[in-house]
Amino acid sequence: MALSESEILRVLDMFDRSSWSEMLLQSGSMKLLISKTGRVQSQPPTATALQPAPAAAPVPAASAAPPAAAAAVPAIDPCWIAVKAPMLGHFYAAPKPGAPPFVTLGQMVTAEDTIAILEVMKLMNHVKAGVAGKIARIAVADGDLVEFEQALIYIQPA
Amino acid sequence: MIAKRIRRVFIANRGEIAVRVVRACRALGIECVVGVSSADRDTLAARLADRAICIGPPMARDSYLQVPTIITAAKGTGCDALHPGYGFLSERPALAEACVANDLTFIGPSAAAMRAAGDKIEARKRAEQIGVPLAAGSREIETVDEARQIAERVGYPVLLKASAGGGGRGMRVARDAHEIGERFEQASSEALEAFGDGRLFLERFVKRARHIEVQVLGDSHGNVVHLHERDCSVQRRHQKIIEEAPAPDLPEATRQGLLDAALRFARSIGYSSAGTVEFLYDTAGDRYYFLEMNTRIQVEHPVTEAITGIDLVVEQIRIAEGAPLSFAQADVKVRGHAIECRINVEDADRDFMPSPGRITRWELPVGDGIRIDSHGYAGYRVPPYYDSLLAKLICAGADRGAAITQTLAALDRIAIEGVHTNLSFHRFVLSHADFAAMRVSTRWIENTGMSQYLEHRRSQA
Repeated sequence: MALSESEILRVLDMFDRSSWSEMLLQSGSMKLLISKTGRVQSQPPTATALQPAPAAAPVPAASAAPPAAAAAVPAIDPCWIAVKAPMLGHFYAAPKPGAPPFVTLGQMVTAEDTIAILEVMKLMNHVKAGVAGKIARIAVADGDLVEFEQALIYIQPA
Repeated sequence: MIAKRIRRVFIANRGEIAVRVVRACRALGIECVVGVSSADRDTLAARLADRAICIGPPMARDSYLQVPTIITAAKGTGCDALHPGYGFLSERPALAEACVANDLTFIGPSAAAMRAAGDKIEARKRAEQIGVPLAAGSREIETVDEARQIAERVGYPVLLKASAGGGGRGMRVARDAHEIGERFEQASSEALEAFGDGRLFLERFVKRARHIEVQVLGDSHGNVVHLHERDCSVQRRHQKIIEEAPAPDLPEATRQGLLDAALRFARSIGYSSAGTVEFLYDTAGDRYYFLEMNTRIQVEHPVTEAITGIDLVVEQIRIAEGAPLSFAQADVKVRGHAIECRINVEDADRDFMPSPGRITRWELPVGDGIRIDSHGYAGYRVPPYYDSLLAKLICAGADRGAAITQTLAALDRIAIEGVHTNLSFHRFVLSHADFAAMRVSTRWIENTGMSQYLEHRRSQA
């Protein structure tokens, strides 16, 4: 049984939020091998190499994920919900320099609360939490350039 | 003589041209960052560049067409220059200006030169002033009555064109005084919708026309040279499909006239970087008319590189650094002949319907005289959001006949599966007697080629 594209994307998403560094999924004749390190420890079976169609392509998608899962940082709990950047821009944790940040670790937020600002050439875009819960991790440093869809903050849903 | 050494280039484009710019950066030892939409994270340019950064969602208007986002991404990734490629923002003066305002070197012409060339009505006025020939017609027409009067004077059929136009949008042929009313409204509203500018001009319609264009290269010290001409007459719905250099079957005096006219126009707007001056060539009357100047690198630039040995993208970067041209006009020598086929993901047998999807087989020929510029690879999923160009096959030979033979041999060795392509159509055109004898015009596909091709395919089935 082959996986559909949306199923593969869901697997990638779960893998992304897990603490695993590598995963091999076999389903019938299909083998899906994904890795966060870009290096694959267990050699992929030759069948995979001969069938580049669905198997090979998702690999770069995993490596393109933000480097949030660095080795020293504790794993991201799979129940946490990532607040992703709605646009590319500079991440600001506070409304202005020196002001207290919008949110701090452990704080409770509502879906409507602003969690950060993304600046694109002097245009300040407020990013809302989107979900109520407790701030479980702030994944980006103040002033960093973040990509479109990069995880900014993780919230443990209430 | 270098004013500002470029160290890291931001590539504000996608597809094969992004890969091409990466290659030029590598040749110069310059780092590069490519801005990708979320649909393009897996593209070849993203893999080959030093870094890829996601600038927005798949739709170009939310990613590749966002000037503030692109500037923020370029500055935020430590780039000191930006290459716009072709299409997208490449001919928008706003991007060139935003680069200058943010201390980024724009690898292309000045915003002023873009504006001078970009408005076709203004460009036509300028061409007229400096003695570059124009097709009989008008400067700008405001009403249908005015269009009718001019059409009576220059003779039907006439062509109505958008001042801000390109790619055939806002363009209509009118065969008589009755037709012109309807066509005027259509062209104007289409132009307004596509370009936000409904202004039109009119010119006499040339029945058998070839498209011939001149590659120019200018530096910031006032030097402008030409790199000879290309013929891009094999077009379908105003989209070029096959290009070649030099233009075949062109009287020497006409060729010289074209090259001189192109240089005069480029010099008159103080052009720097790579640009192309396009002409319509009336084969019956052996006359040429100025069409427009494109202020960017063109898709078909490799055929010029093949016959001159000059790397145009590398030259663009050097020019942007402030370096003078490294060669003089007399150093530009033509060697042999080159042909480019645009391999598109479209089904030639079903009215060239776009055919995005996953590439399952990808085999390309290699060898002397064969170059392929592409972002494709086995496993790549061609997204449905952008244009259908997948690869460019460029073959060179000692003369035109040898280049045609080489191209046909290379086409036979290309194997692409998983998506439909127009490869079979290229084989058909390259082996057609009309192409061999250079009897093609810009309407050849429409009038002759398409029906013969479909017949040919039916007989094969």
